Amino acid sequence: MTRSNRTLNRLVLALVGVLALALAAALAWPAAARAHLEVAGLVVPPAPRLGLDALLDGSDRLVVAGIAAGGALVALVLAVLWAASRGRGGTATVVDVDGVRVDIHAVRDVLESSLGPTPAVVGVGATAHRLRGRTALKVTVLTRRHADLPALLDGVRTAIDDLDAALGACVPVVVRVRTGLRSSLAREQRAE
Amino acid sequence: MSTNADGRFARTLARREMHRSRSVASSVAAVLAALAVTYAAIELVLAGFRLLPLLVRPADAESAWLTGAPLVLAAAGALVVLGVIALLLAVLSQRRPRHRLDDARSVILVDDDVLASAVSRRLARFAGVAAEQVRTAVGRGSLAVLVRPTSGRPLVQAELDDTAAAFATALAARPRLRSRVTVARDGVVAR
Repeated sequence: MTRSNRTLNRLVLALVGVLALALAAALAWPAAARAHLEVAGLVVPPAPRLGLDALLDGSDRLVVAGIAAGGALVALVLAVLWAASRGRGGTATVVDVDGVRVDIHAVRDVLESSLGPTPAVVGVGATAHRLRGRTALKVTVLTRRHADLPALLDGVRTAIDDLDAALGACVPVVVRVRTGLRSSLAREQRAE
Repeated sequence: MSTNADGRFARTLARREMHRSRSVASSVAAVLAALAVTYAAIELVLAGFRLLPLLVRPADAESAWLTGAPLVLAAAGALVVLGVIALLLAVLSQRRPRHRLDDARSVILVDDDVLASAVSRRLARFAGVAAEQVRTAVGRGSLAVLVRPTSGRPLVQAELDDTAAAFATALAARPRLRSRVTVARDGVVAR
């Protein structure tokens, strides 16, 4: 539930994919063209050169080196900025009313005390995120194997009601019910 | 979450949690592309200052490219693989194995393995068999359940079908889950 722009993520992947395929086609082109001519029984002409030799031996070689170094620096900075800008949006403040702030740890405590007695629950986690100018809560509920899901969902709904009452506000909540390593290690839920 | 704006925000939250963000993949792709550009630039700079290359001089690389050296063709093959992977990651939906359950207050998402486990438990208790005798597979809109009866205690298919369908309906998952229960021919010796 981070603030990363997912459309841009897709665009970057598509751009890199298309560039990689174009570069691959360019790399294979001379060999493919020669193979095609040889199969057709035609004379293979000498391949035209790019002139890198002349460019790197001429008077402009330092300009070429400078442009290459500048281009690489820009590419590296952009890539690092891109990677560093992914996954942001986490916040510790869930509610801020008239200077009174409720921290995510307090929310976690409320949820843990509400869901603690529910037999199917192994653990509870909560994080807060700023998204589109609003704060949203992500609550992760870790369950036992073969959990009584309807009872667990009732417990979760009650816990969210308790949270609303404690906060005095209705914060958007996403609840994810999942299993994990702790679920595998915990005893499975038996019939009540 | 009663207003339209709240509903839209809830849908946004659900969509973001139901699909992978591709942040890691796009970061790796961007860094790899930048490293490739940097390597090429380093060779150009070294050649410009007439210093020894890191791996290969640009002029030699050009010759290898024009003659179709095996290493160049291998690099082209590797680029094709990377390019196709990047394009597939960009185009495919990257949906996570979860279902959203109807709820007026919150967005509730349940992992498919939790759903499968809960269905197995429900049917096992109804049929009076051990939970290990019920196997459930959850698809995007389907629940496929295989029940292995205890030897000497036959199960009624229709009752199991009704129980599974009622459980799926009560969960109110989106998209709706259609259940299909199969009773195995071979039984399990009672413990």
